Amino acid sequence: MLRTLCLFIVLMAVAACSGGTTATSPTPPVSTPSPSPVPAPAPSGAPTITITANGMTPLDITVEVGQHVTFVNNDVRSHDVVGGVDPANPDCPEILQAGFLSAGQRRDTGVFTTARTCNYHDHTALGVPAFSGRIIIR
Amino acid sequence: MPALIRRQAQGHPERRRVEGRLSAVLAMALLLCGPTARAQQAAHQHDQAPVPWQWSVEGAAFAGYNYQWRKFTDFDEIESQNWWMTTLQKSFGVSDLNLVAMFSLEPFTLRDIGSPQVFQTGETFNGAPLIDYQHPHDLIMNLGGVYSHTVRSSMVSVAAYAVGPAPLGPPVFMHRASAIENPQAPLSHHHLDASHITPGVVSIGVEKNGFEVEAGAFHGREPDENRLDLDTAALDSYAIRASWADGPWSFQISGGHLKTPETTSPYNQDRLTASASFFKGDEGHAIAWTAAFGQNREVFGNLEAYLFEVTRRSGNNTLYGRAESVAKDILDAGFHPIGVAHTHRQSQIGAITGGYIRDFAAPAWGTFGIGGDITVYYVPDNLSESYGSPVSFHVFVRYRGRTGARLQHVH
Repeated sequence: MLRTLCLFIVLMAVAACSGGTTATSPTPPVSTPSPSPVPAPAPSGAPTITITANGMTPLDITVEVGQHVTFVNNDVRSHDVVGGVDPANPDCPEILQAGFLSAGQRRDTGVFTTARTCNYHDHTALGVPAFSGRIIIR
Repeated sequence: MPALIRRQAQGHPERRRVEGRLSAVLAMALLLCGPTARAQQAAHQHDQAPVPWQWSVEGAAFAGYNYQWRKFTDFDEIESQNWWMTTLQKSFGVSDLNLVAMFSLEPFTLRDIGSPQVFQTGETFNGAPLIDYQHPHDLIMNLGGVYSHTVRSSMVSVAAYAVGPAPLGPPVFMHRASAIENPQAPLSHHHLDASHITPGVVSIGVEKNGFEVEAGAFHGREPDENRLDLDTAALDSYAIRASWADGPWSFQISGGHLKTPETTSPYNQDRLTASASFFKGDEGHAIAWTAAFGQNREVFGNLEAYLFEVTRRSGNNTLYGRAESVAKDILDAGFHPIGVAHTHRQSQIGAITGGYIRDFAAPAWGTFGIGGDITVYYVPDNLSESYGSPVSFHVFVRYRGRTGARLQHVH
């Protein structure tokens, strides 16, 4: 509502500052902002990690050897999924196949072929716990 | 071009400094503003007595609809880009003092994350690097002053700003005659003119016969996410700019060293820019164009940008366009702790914008126009999977106005 009001007063304020006393100024169109990422539904059964503005869900996920994980970006901004906890030493190259995800995009990691635990993080939110997790392959 | 308009457009040399050192900027603004400033100037031509103080206010506001057609999800927004600049000037014979304050309501008229603009980068939101958004400008964009002193045919100026423009890059897009009708920031904004809002600037300049050299110190970090405060910090960066203006032509080359400009990186950056601008016109017809090159030299690699933009005004009709080729490191944007300095993957993005504005009302206090534009992009291979072939649209109402007066009217 505040933005709606401000949008309306912008032209009014300029006019007032310019000393105007008459004439009708056009009213800018007003509405509620609507960035509208459309979440892509994940196929049932596929291990999926969903990204929102609040973080990854779930942070930790368990998959079988031979499976991949799908990352779905339901945020209004892009994210960058990278393996490991240290950006200087990216780990688990399968995760890099998910990589950069623009708003609304979904992409799979590579297939995990060995049982182990892979850390991952969002390169755009390094050090934020809500954007760091583990993929446990067994 | 009438001599009256030319005088006002070119103004006092000091005024040119304050307003971006390009007389063409003000000239175009005057041509777009309607009769206000011209009428006032005409009404006071007879008054040649020295006047202690003069003030002026000028501004622009776009309010409209922004639609971003993307591969996976579209974005649309009702928003407003806007700014006002107030100046207060006093003459002391061969010296002048200009005080400047510039404001924007974008912290309230844009979303906190900014205006959706595909491939736009620069600054942060919630600690993350902004990608595909143009950040809102700070409420206080400029606050400071310039003192100048004329010695023979030369002028020496000293500028100090709590927040203001560093002597680096071409005039900022919102003051460029070739760009003032385009509500979008260039994709090359952070390669060329992003230092127009710099927290803390001290600079000195010497001008003679249209040739000027400026050097200054400033704080290199880009504005923080609090758009309502004044950022204060050490003057840890420096820049130098040489410019030359002759008739309709203006040129500048500049270079600067910016200390850790990005919050997401602990590394410094060097920026080199060069630009050529042209403005010619009268009240009914005017053309302005700018060609610019910018390079950000970082530990991650060198990112280059090329820009050409043009505005053509004929009566109530204005056409504008912009073409850019900009290297971005979108794929590796993010946090890089000290010691992490891998070469970034670069994406050379192209963008072409075409727009049109029709002025429909010109009351005494400004000019209203309605317009729109479309932008198409060249998407490099390494971004095509994530972006496809986006297209951007804007439809808007534009207001532009300027007024001013003398604080003591002497007849």
